[in-house]
Amino acid sequence: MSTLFSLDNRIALLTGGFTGYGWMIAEGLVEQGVARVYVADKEAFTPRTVIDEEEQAKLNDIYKNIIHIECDITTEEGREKLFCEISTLEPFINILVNSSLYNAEDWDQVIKYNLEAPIKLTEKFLPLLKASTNPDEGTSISTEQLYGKIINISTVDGINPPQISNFAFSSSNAGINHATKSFAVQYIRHKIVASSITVGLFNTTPNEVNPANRLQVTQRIPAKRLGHKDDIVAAITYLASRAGDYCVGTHIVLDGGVSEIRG
Amino acid sequence: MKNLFSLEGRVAVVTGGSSGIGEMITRGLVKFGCTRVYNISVHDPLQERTSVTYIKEDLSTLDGIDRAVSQIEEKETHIDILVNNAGRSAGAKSFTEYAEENWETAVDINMKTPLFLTQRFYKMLTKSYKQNNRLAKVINISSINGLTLDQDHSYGYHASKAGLLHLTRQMSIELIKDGISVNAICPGAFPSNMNQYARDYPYETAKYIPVGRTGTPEDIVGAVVYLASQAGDYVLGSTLIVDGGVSNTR
Repeated sequence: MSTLFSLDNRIALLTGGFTGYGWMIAEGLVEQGVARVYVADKEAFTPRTVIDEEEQAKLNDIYKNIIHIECDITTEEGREKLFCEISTLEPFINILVNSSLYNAEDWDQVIKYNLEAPIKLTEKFLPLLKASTNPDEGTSISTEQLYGKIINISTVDGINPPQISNFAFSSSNAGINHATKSFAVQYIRHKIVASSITVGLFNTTPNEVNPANRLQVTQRIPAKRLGHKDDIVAAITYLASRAGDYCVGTHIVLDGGVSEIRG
Repeated sequence: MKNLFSLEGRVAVVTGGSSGIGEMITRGLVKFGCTRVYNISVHDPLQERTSVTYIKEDLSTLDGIDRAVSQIEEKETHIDILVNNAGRSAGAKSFTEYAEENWETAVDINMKTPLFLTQRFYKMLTKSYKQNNRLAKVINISSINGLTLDQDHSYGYHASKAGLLHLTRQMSIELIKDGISVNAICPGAFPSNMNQYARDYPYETAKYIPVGRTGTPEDIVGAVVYLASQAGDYVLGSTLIVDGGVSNTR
């Protein structure tokens, strides 16, 4: 029971890049014990900097375990490149977090990025996730994890569409939640548990947002605050660890209550 | 490493914790650091545990609720965690034979009790935020029968467990103003006196569960600790399904 929430020695792959929720999830997974987090993105990232020297030293240590792999996961070539690179580095991955979220007017682009890419990428990584449930003897990393974990991130627009025209974004977010249920039912036979997290309004920039804007935004949230790093890291840690093994197709709404109210 | 899941120093109350899921939750709360855990149940505990205070009361009546609350008020200034777990299925009968008594027994304990017990503990719950600047947590244990239907004709049970989920939403929006966060958990098949089939026939039960096994203490404790600790602070009015995938299948 004492290791219920442990992620020690796990290997994780995070898609969707380092901006938005990416930096929070990548840093948080390492802080919770993950050995290496691979971040798939077209763009390279710069490790976060802070003023406090002690804090910076800790961050530098964390970033030693966050590895960028340059690729475009919206193309088959990009997904293949990612799979080949990770296969040569790791015998398995324990945790796949799909957090690709892209908002634009163009229907095809948004569906390709938010729905097609995570679904096709998950299918491609099935062998490496399967391998995590039965690691080959002789590998250097031992893991107590019985189940591989797929965690898909979406936003509250997939629950309650906003009063602006964003058909593609809302539909793709709802779609990924439903795809999660399909993955859950189909992949559980391989000892892989799929679940999803719907996020509300988060402060995704490490720096403070404009205080006036913040007040206006937070008034609409029953919890009266934006979500922050600990909130999303805790939700992922719960689902990815032994604690979340029975959450097959479970959907966590992480929004401070915003989707519960009308208007 | 930051421990997001610690319950160090918390005072908790669990209803219906003498056996089954409630007993698993009680043990888990102690394990994760709660200083004191109170168990209110109409039944004697299967096994008394240190760090747990047992209060024997029938919570299906307001008198019973008031007596239980008074006993805790004498010992504590505040409560950090309240797990409304006590529940009854109150019998399954065909539609034409289903009686008012079945309905009332189920609806009283499954829906009325969580509302009025939380109401009576309201002041003590608000002090968790006032004294320690952390959200008090109310966790209502519903059921996957509040989401989807099984073969049982227990009308009151299904309806009251669904009602509890909506009650959870409304309570959460109101009580967050005073630093109390309310959420619900829908467990699937866990071995217990209430789910005797899962207890006595775990392998047969597991055939209908995608993950291929019945629920364990780790499964329910993981969910409760996630919501009860700082980890679950941004989850509000939500339903957390912990069922091994049962409610996702047709």
